[in-house]
Amino acid sequence: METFIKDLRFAVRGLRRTPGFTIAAVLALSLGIGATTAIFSVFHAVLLRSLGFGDEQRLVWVTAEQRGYGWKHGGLSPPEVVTDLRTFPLFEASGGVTRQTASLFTDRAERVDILAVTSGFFEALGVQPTFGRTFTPAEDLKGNDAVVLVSASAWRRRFGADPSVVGRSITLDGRPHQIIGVLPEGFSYDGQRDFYRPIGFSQEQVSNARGYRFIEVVARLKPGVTLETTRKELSALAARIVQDHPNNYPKEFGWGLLADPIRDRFTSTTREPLLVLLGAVLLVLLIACANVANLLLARSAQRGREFAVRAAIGASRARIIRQLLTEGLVMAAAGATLGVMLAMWSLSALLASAPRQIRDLANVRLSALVLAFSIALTGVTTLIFALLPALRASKVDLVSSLKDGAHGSAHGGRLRSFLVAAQVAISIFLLAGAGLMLRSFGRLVSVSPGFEVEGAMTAVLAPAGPTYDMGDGDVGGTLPGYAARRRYFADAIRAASALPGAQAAGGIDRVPTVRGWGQTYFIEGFELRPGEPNPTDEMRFVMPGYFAAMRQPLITGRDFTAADDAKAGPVVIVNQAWVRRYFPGRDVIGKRFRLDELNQTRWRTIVGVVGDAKDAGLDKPAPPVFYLSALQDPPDRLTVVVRGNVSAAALREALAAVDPSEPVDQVRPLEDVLATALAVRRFPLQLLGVFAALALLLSALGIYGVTSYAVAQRTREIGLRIAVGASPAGVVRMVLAGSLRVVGAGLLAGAAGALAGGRLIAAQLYGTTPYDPLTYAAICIVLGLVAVVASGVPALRAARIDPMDALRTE
Amino acid sequence: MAETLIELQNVEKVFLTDEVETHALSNIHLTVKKGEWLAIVGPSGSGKTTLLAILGLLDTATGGSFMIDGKPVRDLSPADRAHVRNKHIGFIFQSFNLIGDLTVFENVELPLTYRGMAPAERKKRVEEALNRVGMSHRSRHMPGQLSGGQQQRVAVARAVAGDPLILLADEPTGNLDSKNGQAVMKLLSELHQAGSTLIMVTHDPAYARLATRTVSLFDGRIVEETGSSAA
Repeated sequence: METFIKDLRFAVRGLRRTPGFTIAAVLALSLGIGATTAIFSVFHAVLLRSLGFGDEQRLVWVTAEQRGYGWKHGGLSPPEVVTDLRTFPLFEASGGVTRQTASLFTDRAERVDILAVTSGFFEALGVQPTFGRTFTPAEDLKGNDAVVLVSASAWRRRFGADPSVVGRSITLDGRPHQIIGVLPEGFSYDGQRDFYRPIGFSQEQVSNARGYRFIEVVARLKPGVTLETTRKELSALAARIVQDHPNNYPKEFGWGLLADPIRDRFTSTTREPLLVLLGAVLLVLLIACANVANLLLARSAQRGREFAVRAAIGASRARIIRQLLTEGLVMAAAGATLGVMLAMWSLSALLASAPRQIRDLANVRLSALVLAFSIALTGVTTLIFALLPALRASKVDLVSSLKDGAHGSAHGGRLRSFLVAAQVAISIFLLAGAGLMLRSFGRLVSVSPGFEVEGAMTAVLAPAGPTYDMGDGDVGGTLPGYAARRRYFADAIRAASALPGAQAAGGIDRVPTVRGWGQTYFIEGFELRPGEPNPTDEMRFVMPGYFAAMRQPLITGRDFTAADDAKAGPVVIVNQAWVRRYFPGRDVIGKRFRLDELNQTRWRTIVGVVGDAKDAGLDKPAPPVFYLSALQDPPDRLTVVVRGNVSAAALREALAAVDPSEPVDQVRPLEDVLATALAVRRFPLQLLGVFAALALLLSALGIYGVTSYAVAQRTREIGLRIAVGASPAGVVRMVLAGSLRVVGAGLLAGAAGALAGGRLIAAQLYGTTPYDPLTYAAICIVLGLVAVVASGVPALRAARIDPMDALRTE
Repeated sequence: MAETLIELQNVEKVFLTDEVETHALSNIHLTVKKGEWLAIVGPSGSGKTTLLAILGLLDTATGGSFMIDGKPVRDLSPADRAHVRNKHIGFIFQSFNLIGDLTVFENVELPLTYRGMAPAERKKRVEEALNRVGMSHRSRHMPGQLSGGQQQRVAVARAVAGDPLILLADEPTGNLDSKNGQAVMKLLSELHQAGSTLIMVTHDPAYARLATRTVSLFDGRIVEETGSSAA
């Protein structure tokens, strides 16, 4: 221990004596360790951290698949949740869950995100309320469902942490709901929500609504039951369900039940991009290590005599290696300290730019485990960057090093060149990833969504009060709530149209890029192949004026008008993709179809064809879509779109005035809706871009350092060359050629590696391949230019060497 | 009759450069007794420094046998050689070779640290050694703050602090002016009189005369020996 402290003291003293070296090395390490720590903390929070549910290993996420359509992880229907799965013998408890919004009325109307669940949900998760109780099976049914559980944070924020809150009443969707309990601190299923309430099935839904699939199920396996057994038994259950209800589960659906570990529910979509990012940041750390190793090699070459003296007076090779590793550890510890501070600072920036879609980002913090990771990383980093130089430095030629007049050893040149080439190769790898994603993002941004994005304001109305009750919410329902909705939506569009600056106004249930409903239907005159199921396509509900407000072109036929109301014959508009899919090259105006639901007997006539919009997302081809008239079939919600110079405040005010008891949500420009859709792609792109820039910077420093060192080592030789007639340009060319040979080797290796590893990000690319030649050409040019600048500075210095000075120094 | 401390039999050193053999040392027979002061002289390139490096276990002989204190040392492993250097040999170099980042005290202490000696014992020995060379008042200084003569005195202190069997000095006055050179030689004389065994490479015949015996090298061979090996 005493010798370790001595080594530490010596290391600190040596580092203080060479501030330039120390700053460069510590900075490089802090960038590498800091970035790795920041990404690991995200990785840990999203993928590794406990989900907060008890005995997570026994929890499964149950969903449906339709192999006939290649669909996975679809919703389940009320009978499947309440009848079939609740009695499944391998489950200790199970419960359904779906996301809803509700209007909470206090002194004003407010839209709140709700998690609607069935009884058994909290029991399956192993969650006990802090106060009160959870939902009973009786409360699964409409009429008994006016009860609500409050999250701990809402309990503090909205109710002042009042322990007597249980039993009090709040107004959700215009109906009083009794608070029956407060959930424990920190509980969250898929994000923070204030209220949890029963889904509230009708008796009809529980008995028959097998086509009404919108619920996911969480189940706790009985002790000792394996996932494999569960899957096997669920498969048998699904087969029985299909056999018992052939009308609801046509064979061609290939319907089945899936069980996956609960963690997959939250991480399946984020795992791959996060692994790519973690890989990228580890590569940056590797570059930093190579950089510091290079600096250490140069430094230890200059310290050759010191190591020789130590060896001469009795230090063994192991002892010298230990000394050098201690010096490395001191640098790494300084780098880690700075790196962790950098990580703390960069995390807030990182989280601010992260998309909301990634669960648990709110939990990202530098926890004890993350700090332990950083410490371990520091140890590993030290070994990576310090061991090689230490091994080399300790292999000292005692006789020549101890001679009077001996200078630093010039050994290790090849190793230093190799390290620079490796840095360049890794940089190319990262630059290729970032370049491809940037190109892909550029393509995505330039994709026409099929409508005009700029100059339109949107707002979401989701009337939920008793006036607007839709019962089971079926299309074509006849409850008074349907008529109230028609009036409310029509009034809202009128109010928006009347705003000063408004050029056109309309509405749709969900704007393109926001997922809509899939609907199975029967098309008159379209012949199915034997065994082919009726088509299922995207169904959207629009108000008259919507296509004009979006500037989505009408190709043939007509738009909906105010006359297409409940009294008129049902009409429908389709997009061009629909025509291409079912009647390519033919006139479809006047063709009819009907929705494939028990209560849907009416034929709907096609009255118009509109241009395609990127309904499924900018990165996907426009799917076939049919639009129903919202005046005939009012949807659960309406996104109002106003074209023109209309402010968010003005639109909010105008819509709120239509029905003050209903909240107006998400008032934002149409561009923001698209930006949200792009955020999931922008986030990894931004990070990968930062890592690639860091890699480039570190590589430039590496190239500069090695070229400078080579020039310093060759001062006498260069002086001699100049003395015998070499021109300055010739010297520059000579130095550049030496440096660029190394860069070229790294460039080739990196490009080959990037081409081979391109498939890692292939899934995240759009409109380009992992082998895009333009991207590769661009990054090679960028890195080439950086290399020329980085080695050009020492090359110019070499050209200015005074031959007399250089020869005298020896 | 004094005990034999070093015995070289038919030692040779051959360097291979681009398949060209260079015989740096040939047929070296040399015996050094305890308490003896041996000077090795010869023109540049005669093999003096190579011989000293072999004697100090900094380099290995290509052939022949080499014993220190009756034990063969030619084929020792690098770790064992380091151990022998640390325990039995003290070096004094022409260019002092102090470590610039260590204080005078720490430089002298370094070989004792490598020996694993207890801190109190180390302190005592370092203070004694610095006293012996008259540098105890500079123990907290860095080498860069000392004159050449002072640095060489510190180097001598470092060499003797571990109480080695042999002191090897390679042109110990080569980088010093005559006054400092004489002072260092006086110090070496005192060490010899106190019983140390000294082997010194020098160009200077006047300093060589201070030794009890002189060996002259030419083209890697011992061509002349003067003086007596009896200490």
